[in-house]
Amino acid sequence: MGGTASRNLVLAAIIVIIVIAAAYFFVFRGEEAAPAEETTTPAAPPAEETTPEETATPAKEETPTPAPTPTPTKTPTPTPTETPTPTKPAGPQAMIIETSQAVVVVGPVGAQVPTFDAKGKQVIVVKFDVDEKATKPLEESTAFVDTSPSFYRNEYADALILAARKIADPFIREQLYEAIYKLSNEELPLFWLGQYKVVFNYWSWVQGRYYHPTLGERFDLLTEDPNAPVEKIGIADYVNDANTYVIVTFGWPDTLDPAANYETFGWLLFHNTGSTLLTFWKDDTKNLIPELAVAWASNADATEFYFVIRGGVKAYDPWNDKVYDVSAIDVLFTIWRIARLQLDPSWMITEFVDVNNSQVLTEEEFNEMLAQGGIYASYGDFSGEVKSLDELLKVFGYEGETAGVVKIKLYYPYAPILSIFADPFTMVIPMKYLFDNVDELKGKYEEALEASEYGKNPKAWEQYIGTGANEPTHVFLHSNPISTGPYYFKDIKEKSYIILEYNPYYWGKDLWMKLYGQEKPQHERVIFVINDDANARIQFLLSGKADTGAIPLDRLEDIRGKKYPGTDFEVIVEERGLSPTIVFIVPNAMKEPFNNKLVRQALMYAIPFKEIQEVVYAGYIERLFGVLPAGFPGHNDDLVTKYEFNLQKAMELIRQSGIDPTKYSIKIWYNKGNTQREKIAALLQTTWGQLGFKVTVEALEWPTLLEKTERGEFDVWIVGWAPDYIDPDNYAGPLMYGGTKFAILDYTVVASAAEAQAFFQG
Amino acid sequence: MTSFRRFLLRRMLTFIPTIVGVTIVTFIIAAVVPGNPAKLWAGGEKASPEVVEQIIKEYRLDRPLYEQYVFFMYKLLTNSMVSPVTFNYVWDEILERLPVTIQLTLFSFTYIILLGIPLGIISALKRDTWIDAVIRILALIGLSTPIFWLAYLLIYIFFVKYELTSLAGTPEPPYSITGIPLIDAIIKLDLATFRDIVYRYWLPALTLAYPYIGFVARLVRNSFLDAMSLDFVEYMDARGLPPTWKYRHVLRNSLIPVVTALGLIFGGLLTGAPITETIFSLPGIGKFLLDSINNYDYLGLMGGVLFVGVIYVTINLIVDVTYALIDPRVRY
Repeated sequence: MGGTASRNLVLAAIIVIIVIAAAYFFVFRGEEAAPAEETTTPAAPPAEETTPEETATPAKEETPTPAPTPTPTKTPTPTPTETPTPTKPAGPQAMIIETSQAVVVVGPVGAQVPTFDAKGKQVIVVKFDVDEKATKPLEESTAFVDTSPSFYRNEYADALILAARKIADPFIREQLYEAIYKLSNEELPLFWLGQYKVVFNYWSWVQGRYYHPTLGERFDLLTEDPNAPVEKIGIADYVNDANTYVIVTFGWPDTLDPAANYETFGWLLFHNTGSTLLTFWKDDTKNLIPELAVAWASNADATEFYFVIRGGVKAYDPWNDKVYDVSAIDVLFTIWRIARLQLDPSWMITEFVDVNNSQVLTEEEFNEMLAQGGIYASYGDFSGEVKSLDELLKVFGYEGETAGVVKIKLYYPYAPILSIFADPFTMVIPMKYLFDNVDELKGKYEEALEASEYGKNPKAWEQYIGTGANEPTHVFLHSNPISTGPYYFKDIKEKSYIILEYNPYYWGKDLWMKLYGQEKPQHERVIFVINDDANARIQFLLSGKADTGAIPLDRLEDIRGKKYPGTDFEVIVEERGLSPTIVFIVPNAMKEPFNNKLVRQALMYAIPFKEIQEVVYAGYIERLFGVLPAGFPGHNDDLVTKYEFNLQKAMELIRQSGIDPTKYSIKIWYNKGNTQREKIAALLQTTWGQLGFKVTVEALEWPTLLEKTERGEFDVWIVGWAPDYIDPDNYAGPLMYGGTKFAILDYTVVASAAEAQAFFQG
Repeated sequence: MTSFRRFLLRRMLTFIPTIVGVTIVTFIIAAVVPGNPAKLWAGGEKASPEVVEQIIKEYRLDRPLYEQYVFFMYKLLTNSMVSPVTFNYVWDEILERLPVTIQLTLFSFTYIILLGIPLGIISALKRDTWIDAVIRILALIGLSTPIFWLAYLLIYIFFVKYELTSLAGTPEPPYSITGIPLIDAIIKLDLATFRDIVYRYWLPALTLAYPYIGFVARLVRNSFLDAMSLDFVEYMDARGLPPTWKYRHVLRNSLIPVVTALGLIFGGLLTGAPITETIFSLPGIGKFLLDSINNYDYLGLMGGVLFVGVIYVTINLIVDVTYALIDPRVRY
């Protein structure tokens, strides 16, 4: 960074402080209105005025600023002018947030829109009316569920998050998420810390590795140098050769019943042994492609989705060497069963999908519905209404046979639902497999089909399938997984190993034909060797018995470049971009002093990120400045303040906030045994202590920490987030949505401030 | 003999309160950790409230502690409830892991007996010579070596350098008679499987046995020397009886403390060896207990502790009974 650049940065930061200070002053002490003119957005959001909603919400202790003072990071104009307006504006104010390609205006119904120059950009206007009765008081809310983990609530941000959730248009969504990202950076509901780097380690004979954040790799797409050495693994007569992919790792999947599995190990297995409705190709996280659904469409308001199911799909039961046909009923049954079991990942279905009102349609029924109109598809270059099944299939370029249609009914429009149907926990399980093998259900398959009128009334299945961890189909599937994907479970020895072998009944063998010229992939089998000791794993990997392994970040240097004796093969350790897993610090925004934005900003400036990066994460983490990690729409670091470690600035902000830090003692909590969080807490203790706070660090047992933090009984704690499905809403929703409910939430796209004003009045 | 029967009955009756006491203490220690484990079981900070609610209902976590205890014990003893963490029936899982622990125990115990006792006797016979000194130093090192360090060292030598052992899986023959592969292979005279089992277990068993070998050698030495100083030895010497005859009597007299120690060691080995099992990737009882603790898996933990308790009490009883066989003076 050049001298001028850093000088500009300092200058910009000073401006920010002055603007914030001015805003703060006017909000707290100024009776006279004084919207501070800020520098990136020409139109000033009035940094003033308590909106009626805010005063009506007793829980809201947040500085009642309706507008964030958008922080100029690349400010060309160094003049911080606070122009006091001559007249006090009546009524609530709209907030204006300039994003890269739009201006987002958000405010309550009837809000005043300050004049601004749209600079030819589109203006996205979101208006809302808070439903006070439906909104839970913060004290009764649950972290991550009804409100953000810090109990921060801001109805402007909440309106944006809910609007973005329901809008399908990718451009508008992205701009809204940019606005949300900018707000999360300015308001700091959480102290964003970093985003992990992806580090791969593997022997150089392995080729074609890639990274996908929720799915992991498909082992039939990876290849190996045919000259890869042959090493005995130690399990029966298995060897690690060019046709075997061996992974030495730790832990054990929670369960092999996909409907109950909510962790990455299990999802990686299901991605390789199952098929979902949709999927992503390799490392692509943007374009969903057909898997068991060969085509899909939705009604106009995106509350009903139709999936045309691939024909000729077989499920392989290796335990009895039996094969089952998979049809639309199995798809509906699988999704319905996830909701019914109510186990760990079920919320991703129950929250959005009305499973009991979803149903199976025949191709003819669906064709008739299409002919009536009102059903739209969007795939590739095509976007529009489709009038017949043939036309729909043509859009998706599919010519083979089909096995019925599933209609999924949503409670409300939710754009990311398609991404959820690519998650491995939704892999399709043939209904008959369970009815053939679970004692309680034997001989009742036909009866259950008839009861549900062949998928028209799935609620009828409630008398066959129960709820909870002891439900018989769950207990059965837990240790008897079935395959609809490229591999099947050949052998499982709990906490010891898993052996997968290529599935001879896989519906997608054409792909193998294309890639390898044979009806099987190069990796005919995949072996997971479990060892919970990192040192032993390193030795196992270095012996060449494994192709890759789970190696702790601080031990990577011990394996990098190690050669396989007598060959040129070596262990490769390489960074592969950024992982979507993020780490952040949670301040309690309901409590003093964290309910003060300036204090939050001060504490953010007092986080020694460089040290954390080096000392705690061995360099394998990248700085994050807002709620959305890199790689997700809406993440745009050109829009935000980059909080560099600066104790002086932090002190200055504390002074401006008017609080006396010595009066506050802050307890930083982390879960016992997590050494990374322990080190972060220790570093924060030093730097935050230098601001004058009395800081103590405490380790809590995980259940204790979870229980206290979910109810808001904490000062500060440290935690992370990994995505459940690929959508920015999976960050903005759980991490920033404060829980405001709206009676009215509407949006439009206009071209000017005047039109925006009209929308608020209308 | 009637008194022996009464003794047995008395000992059997003390079984029950001991076991109940052990499980109550375990349950209370697990349950007094403030905070509800339901959220953890349901997926941690991401758990949805409906799932948490479901688990609380299913595992009766909203009921008073004594009711929870009785419920858990009932479900455990009837093996009719899956653990909320592993989704396995607890006894099924313990039974699945038992063969690993038993084989590890058998191998380790063989080392302890074949090395510990002879070394102790040699040490006693060659008292205060350099042989005695070497054995005693080795015993001291064995007792004070951290097991994980020793494990890494042995892995480096025997796995990395010479590949004389394996670190993955556990050999299992296609047939099953007792359910313990080692014993089955011996019964069937299946040399190939036997070889595989020895190849897999000899190193972890040695690691596990090493400290005990030192302990037993020292115990045998001291006990042997004590017995050597008894009056009858002098008498036998005076009578000019052959030394082998003398040593037989000395050995028998010195065995009581050794048998007690060996019995407890055997019981201890049967209850699992968490560190050795973790490093050598042998999922036995020790690893099961450790994982249960780490995952706050009450049900698994109570099942494990119940199992360990039963083993301990039984082994103690057996040891007490063997006293009578070794020492005819012992009467019940």
